[in-house]
Amino acid sequence: MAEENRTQIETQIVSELVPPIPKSKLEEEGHSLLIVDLLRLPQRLTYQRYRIDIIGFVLAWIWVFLLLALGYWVARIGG
Amino acid sequence: MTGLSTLDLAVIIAYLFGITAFGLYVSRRVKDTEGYFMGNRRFGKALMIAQALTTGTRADYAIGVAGASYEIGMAGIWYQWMWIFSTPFFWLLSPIFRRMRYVTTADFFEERFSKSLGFAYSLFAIYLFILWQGTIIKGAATTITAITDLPESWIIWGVTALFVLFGVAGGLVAAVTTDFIQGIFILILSFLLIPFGLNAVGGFSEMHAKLDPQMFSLVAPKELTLFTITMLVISGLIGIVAQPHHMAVAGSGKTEMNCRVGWCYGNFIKRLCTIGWALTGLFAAVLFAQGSLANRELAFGAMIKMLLPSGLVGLMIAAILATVIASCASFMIAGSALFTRNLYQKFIKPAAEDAHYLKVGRIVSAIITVGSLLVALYIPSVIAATVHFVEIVAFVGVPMWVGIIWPRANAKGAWASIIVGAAVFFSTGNLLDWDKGPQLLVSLICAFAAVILVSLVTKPEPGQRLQRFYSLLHTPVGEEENLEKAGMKPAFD
Repeated sequence: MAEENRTQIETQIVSELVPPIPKSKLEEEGHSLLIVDLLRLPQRLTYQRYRIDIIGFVLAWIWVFLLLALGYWVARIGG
Repeated sequence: MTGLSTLDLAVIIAYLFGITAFGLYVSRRVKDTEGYFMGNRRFGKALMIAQALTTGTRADYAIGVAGASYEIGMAGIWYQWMWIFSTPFFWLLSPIFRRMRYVTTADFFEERFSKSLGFAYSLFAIYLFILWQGTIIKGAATTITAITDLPESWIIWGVTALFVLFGVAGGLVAAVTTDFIQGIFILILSFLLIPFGLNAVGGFSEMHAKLDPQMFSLVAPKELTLFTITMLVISGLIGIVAQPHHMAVAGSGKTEMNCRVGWCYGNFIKRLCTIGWALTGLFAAVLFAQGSLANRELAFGAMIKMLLPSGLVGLMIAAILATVIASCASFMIAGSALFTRNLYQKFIKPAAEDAHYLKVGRIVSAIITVGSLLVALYIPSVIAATVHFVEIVAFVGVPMWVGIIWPRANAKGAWASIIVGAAVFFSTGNLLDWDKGPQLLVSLICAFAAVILVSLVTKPEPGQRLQRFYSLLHTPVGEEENLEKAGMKPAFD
């Protein structure tokens, strides 16, 4: 990144192989991504950061189990 | 001659005329390749749900699941439910696709790894689109043949002509905008036969009395053991990221939340529909003795012909055609995007006007369609094509997952993964004659091992490439200013 821009934006390090990248305000407020940060989760995992991923993922699994239960129940109606 | 009443024909013609006219009307709004290929990334939640539902819900799924359930019972549901455990991951993956800001999945392989991988993926993806389109057309034709007794080849040609007219003219906007209507028809397709089927078999209790209890098990020891199901599920999860149309499906929403809700919940609706398809197959098992149908994939069409009154038969055929047109149009457009952007523009004519690429895209759409027509005319069965696709896409999914998660993964590792995984899979299948489950397990382990080991012993990707890629992933939609300040304007946005 150009030297003159580095002072204008905050940066973060995601890996020793990757030069500094722009730091995101939204990521700190719940828009961080679990899969992208998978290898850094032990250091970074907080509900605040990954709120949207966590809530949506858990809700989705609830839907999965509801669908499985529905399929199981349908197969057993009248049995 | 067609075995259809005047009312059925009227319903079909009215539907086809209406949906095609609407698609052509919408096509007048498409002015550039971004609009043609990605809908200018302006789809809201409802359209995203409809797009995810219809692009990934095809008549051949219903036909395949119903046919499998007719023969092996409720376990046939796993030919589509193999993706049920992947669906929560769509919530996590869709913002990744959206933030990449790529147009095609080949862009990912090129940007993250190398031009050669992007080129190779483009060819692979075009093969997949041809295979899928052919399978879709085949499934629809099999069913309509069972209903009308018309030659299957006539239906294949007719259906192909329809979606070409619809898709080539308007692109993704035309395909997606009519998805609301197509979505309703898919739900109709999934559940309309159930009340008629229940009445014909005498209710659930009678169905249980007439069928072997094994038919109601979610595991079928001969065809779908628990281990095979598990491996298909794992393969499905690994391969889901590499399906070529998913970059467009998951990344064309206005916001990340639109993408998440659309892709995830559009697919949940599809999983719900699968229950209807499996139940339809069980009804067929009661009504048609095993072996009485020339092939099990005729079961769905045979049920429609036997059970539905005049008018509703036409509605079902219209629903099948609706899914074919929606899915094939989307795949055709995605395939032409891959060719135009990742092959033609990069290697053949880099500096042409956008209108030129739009024209090339439409020509390629037609060529892909010819390929799919040939596939439809010659493939043996829908289920065989489905399993083949799940298997091969997983090997391309391995480097994609690793490339997103692990910065150390490099192009050489990605190549090694694909080559080793595919080689192990095909040799254990063709030379050693292993069962599907162990074949998938061993080849996926080898694919993961290859990308990790080769990446570790070769140089990492240049820092600038990695910086660009991970900057995109860590910049939510709406914070593009950060990228611009850092001198990294997204190349494809």
